[in-house]
Amino acid sequence: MKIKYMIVLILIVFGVSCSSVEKKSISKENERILKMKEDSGNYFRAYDPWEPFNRRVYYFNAKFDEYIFLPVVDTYRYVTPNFVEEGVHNFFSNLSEIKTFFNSSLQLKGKKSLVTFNRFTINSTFGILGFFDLASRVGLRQYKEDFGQTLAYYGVKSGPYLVLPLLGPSTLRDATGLGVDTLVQSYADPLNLGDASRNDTEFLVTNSVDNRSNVNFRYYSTGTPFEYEYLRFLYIKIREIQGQN
Amino acid sequence: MKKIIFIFVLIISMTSYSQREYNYPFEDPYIATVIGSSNMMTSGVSEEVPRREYTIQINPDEKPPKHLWYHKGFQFSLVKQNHKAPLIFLIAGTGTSYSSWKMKSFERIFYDAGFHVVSISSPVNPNFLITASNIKMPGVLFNDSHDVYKVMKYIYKEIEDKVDIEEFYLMGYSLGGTQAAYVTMLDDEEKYFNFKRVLMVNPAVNLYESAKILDDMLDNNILGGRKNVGQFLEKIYRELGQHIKGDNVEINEDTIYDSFKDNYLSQKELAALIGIAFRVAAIDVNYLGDVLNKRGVYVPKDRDIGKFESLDPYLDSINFASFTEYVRNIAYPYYAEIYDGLTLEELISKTDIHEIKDYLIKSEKIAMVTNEDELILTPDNLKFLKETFKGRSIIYPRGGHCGNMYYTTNVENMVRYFQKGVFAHEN
Repeated sequence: MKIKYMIVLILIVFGVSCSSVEKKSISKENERILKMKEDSGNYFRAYDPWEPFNRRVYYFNAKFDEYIFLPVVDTYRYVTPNFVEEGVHNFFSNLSEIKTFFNSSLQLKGKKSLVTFNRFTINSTFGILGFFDLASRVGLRQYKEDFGQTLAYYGVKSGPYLVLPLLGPSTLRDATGLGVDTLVQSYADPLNLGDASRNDTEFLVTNSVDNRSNVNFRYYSTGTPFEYEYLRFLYIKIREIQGQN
Repeated sequence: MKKIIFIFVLIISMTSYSQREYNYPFEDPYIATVIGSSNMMTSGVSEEVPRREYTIQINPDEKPPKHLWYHKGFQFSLVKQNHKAPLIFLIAGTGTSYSSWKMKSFERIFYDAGFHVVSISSPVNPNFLITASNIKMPGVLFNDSHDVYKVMKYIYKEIEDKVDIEEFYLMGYSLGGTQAAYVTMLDDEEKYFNFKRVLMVNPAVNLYESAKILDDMLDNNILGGRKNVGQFLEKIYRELGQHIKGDNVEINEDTIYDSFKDNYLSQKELAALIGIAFRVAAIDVNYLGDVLNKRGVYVPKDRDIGKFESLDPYLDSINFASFTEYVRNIAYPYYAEIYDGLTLEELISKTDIHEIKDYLIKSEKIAMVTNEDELILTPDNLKFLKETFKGRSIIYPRGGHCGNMYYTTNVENMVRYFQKGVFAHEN
């Protein structure tokens, strides 16, 4: 599993160095894009200097979905009773509270941190390691924060659009954030899962399958010739809106 | 005698609802259109139905352009009963896919009502255009409906040994409703399916006029028109962001629904959003009409776009082109070449259901439902529908464009019409 850490580290180093070097040029680039949007009337333009690479990863993801990911997801859904599926989803969702807590604290969002902390405590104990989402039932709503948002909070621009292998739409900033969150998540380990959360392939696979199972998007399924452009646009917009919260 | 009684029942049963007895909650046609009845699905409709998707070859000799490689064949879906049952063909609205949320909702409703259901994309939908259209320049009702009819026969050949079919029914909404009438007329000559009953839901009367209304919703409700679509959307996003901030929750269907419910977007803004939604479909039609027929308007004629090539330059040059621009800049020059001396007015008349008026007046198997406040109809259009369908119609007082299709009363009437041939309402 060392490879995973290598990737994460590479992303961080790469991300940090790029963003410090490119910071000036990125904001310039943003201005240029804004101007281009105005001039061309094409609102869907985005800062996408790696588009040739991104489009190929997009294609790769679609093929991976078709031949591996979705068949596995379908099998998982078929063989697993609904309440187990839900439990598994709750379990991973509960683990993600760690990242939300960590990031809302970094952004000094007191209420969010507190609610998230309470949710995690309730669900991890009474909810049996998070398999049951009791906190929602008593009215504690789930928040979501990640390190990409934390970076945005402290003024880091999104940087170039980036389609990640297997994971899909992201930006340089958000991909960096994802790396940090993954590290935090596996090292914080308040549930005492120990090595399971770090080294266990089954753990990783189940997590991925659960994730994919809960995302309805199918590559090339909208049929429009401009799906790549629209998805890129939507991703960046949604992240902007989330950043305002 | 039986027939006379039947017609009598039709006449007394299919009249307008008065304001008082129709409880559809949205007074504003724009709100109705945007929100639809997503939160009002008839309770008790099955969540899961046995649905299968198919991909078949309609024009095996044709290959899609390289960058549209993923349109490998014509797609449709079948929801099937495990016993002998009637089959209903559904035609989707403007540009919409067979697998859209709307189509899936109809599938669930009709499955529960005991029908096999086949969902067909709109002939303006990219997959239909690329893989099944004969003349890949949509809008002329006869051509498009011919394509739909042809596709239905291919579908039937694909599924005939998989389902036990009692008889055939047909329904379409919006543009699909208009096409349903033409398909029925074609079938009346050929008697391939011999549809027992046909329902047009919120049909357009004149495509060009309806398109113009929808085009104007964007152009007239955003200050500065299309060049400010960006600014306008930014503003909406910002407002949405602020609105959501209060509750500190994620953006999802419910929060958006709440923001409409609280009247927090103005009618002008709602109209603009509807305009933008239709404009996205118009962008596809502009692009595909151009590139599939090598018209050289947005994409140079000899340009063979690569599989991984950026489409930004073409999206730039399309620049939010509308349906009316599609007709004027892409479709009309094309048809003027085919039919020497065709005028724009003549082309527009081929997008108007008036051309089959005589057939519609006497075709008893076709019924129609629409709304008094239907957004895509001019007052003349609505009058035409009322005069043409008379007793074979329901005009609901509210609902905007397709905003009440899944409202309980509408669903009950729709299902009862297909099952028994009469609408429920009696005055």
